[in-house]
Amino acid sequence: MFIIKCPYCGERDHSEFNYGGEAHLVRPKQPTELSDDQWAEYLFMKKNIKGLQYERWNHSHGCRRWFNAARDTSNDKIHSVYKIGEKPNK
Amino acid sequence: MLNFTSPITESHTYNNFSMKEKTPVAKINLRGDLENKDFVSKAGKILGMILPKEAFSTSTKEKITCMWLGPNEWLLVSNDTVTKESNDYELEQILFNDISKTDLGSVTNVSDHYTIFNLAGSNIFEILSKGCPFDFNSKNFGDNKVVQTILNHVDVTIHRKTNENVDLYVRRSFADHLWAWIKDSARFI
Repeated sequence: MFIIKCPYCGERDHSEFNYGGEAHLVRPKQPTELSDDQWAEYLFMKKNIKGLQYERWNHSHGCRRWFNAARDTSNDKIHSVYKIGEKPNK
Repeated sequence: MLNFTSPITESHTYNNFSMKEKTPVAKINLRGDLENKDFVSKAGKILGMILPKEAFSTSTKEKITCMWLGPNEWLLVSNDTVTKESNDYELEQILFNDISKTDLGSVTNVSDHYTIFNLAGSNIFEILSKGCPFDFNSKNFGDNKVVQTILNHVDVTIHRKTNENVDLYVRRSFADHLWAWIKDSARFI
């Protein structure tokens, strides 16, 4: 089983969670001034790396809170979890 | 106002397991920031209890049980049952006027949102474990604890009152489906 530690509820099974994509992306301040290519770059072009990745997760079937997790995409090991707005400790 | 037209029309007993639907009671969803002292003191004053801060925890007074749903979300459940005639709750009005209208937090009446199943017997968690990823033997989970999880793909809130008496909150529209599933699972225990 793949266990995720929710910062609010503790260790729970992954089936209670929803994945929210890459974390720490900054939304452009003036989307209207961007070209279509630049906007598409922000919307769709995610890193998709093999290794340690910072991600957003939602405990959608539990406390319904968003949080961040540092997950190794090659072996699904979660290295740390931290609340939204906090910086990852490297 | 509570809806007395129940989706469940039967109760069931197997060897030492019984399931029935509870009479409708008032349920209120309360949200607010614990760091806002005004909110905490006002809610505490109205409810006569301190809002539970820790995951899984509940606190109970004579009339009301307060359950932790999230770091800024609680479910208040009335311990009284009402008759069809006197079908009104002043608590919601008081909370609404003092918390919602003053922008301290939000108060939502979810009475008809949830149906409550009362399960009793010695093997409740064996049955629930058949379709639930939560570890009911976890040291954080004991009597008077509440957990939100999934049971057979349906979102549920499980309130363990004692080891042999559990209240299960499920959305009204899923109640019929989940009822059939529990009934079926309990047959082979």
